[in-house]
Amino acid sequence: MSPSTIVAVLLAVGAVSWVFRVTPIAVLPAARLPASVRRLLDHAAPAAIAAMVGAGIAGGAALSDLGPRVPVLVGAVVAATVAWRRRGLVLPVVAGLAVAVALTAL
Amino acid sequence: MTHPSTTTGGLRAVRETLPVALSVAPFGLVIGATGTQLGLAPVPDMAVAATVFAGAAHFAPLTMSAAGAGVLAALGAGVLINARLLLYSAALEPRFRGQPRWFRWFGPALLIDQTYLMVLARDDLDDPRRFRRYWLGAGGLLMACWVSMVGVGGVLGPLLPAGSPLDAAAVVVLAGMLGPRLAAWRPAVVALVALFVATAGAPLPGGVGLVAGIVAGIAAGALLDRRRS
Repeated sequence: MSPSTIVAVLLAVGAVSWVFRVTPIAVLPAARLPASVRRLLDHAAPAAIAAMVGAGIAGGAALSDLGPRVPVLVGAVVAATVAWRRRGLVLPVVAGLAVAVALTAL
Repeated sequence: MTHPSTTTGGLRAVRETLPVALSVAPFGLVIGATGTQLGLAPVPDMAVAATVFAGAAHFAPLTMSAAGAGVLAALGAGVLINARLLLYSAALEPRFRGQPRWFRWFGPALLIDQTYLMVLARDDLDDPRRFRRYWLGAGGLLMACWVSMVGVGGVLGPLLPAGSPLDAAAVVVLAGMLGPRLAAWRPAVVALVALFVATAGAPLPGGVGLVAGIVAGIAAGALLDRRRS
């Protein structure tokens, strides 16, 4: 994709996001959202973030060729574990990145 | 004249928002730097950051574009990620019910994970004016910080040396966002399924593996829901 296409895609994501944000408040009462849809939407965020973590760890490599990606994998595990125990992103990111960089340098 | 309680509410919003803004700053920097590497100039990327105003939904199309994904796949991933905003909006609808029309239409633009959680944690925002002050103060400051960080990342991106751990930083930030969601077993199963499928599907062209991971995670969650009911 060209840079202008990427910007157009992101602006479209922003427009749809605004519709998501405003519809239950200004257009439809909250009660009309079916329970089944609510449950599916509830799963969307963890699924999407986890999928991005997985794709980022693999970096385009096959499962059998993940050896060079171990530092990123371990860094991700460290960040997730620290974030699980503490609120906020700064400490998990610093800890995870430090581990990933250190393992890469070894 | 400004009512003292609303002024205090606005100041309190600013005070409570600063640590939250600090916590999301690394992700903003990574997104800005990634955008620059893909050829986006910092100013358009900042405009996009204000429009999308959600890190993961901004980042997914960038990474998918880098992986050679098509327009529809990148758009679909961003939309799927932000679909949770429907839930947040529905949950906050009572807070917006007694508000002016302009605020009901444009106030929700500041709705993100952080503002949602900040408002949920407060039990003193029943007064519509007080809520409005708090919402605009907290959300406005978060958006300003977020857009600034994306801009700083965009400027610093080209200065990063070759071999800098930018891809590791992006994964680590996302893992940090995922960690707190793993405390309950149901979202943990959803996340693990999505992670495994996306990892296994990483060599597939066009970002198919990422979308497959998202769909597999949501499907796993739906199966768990069905078994429970």
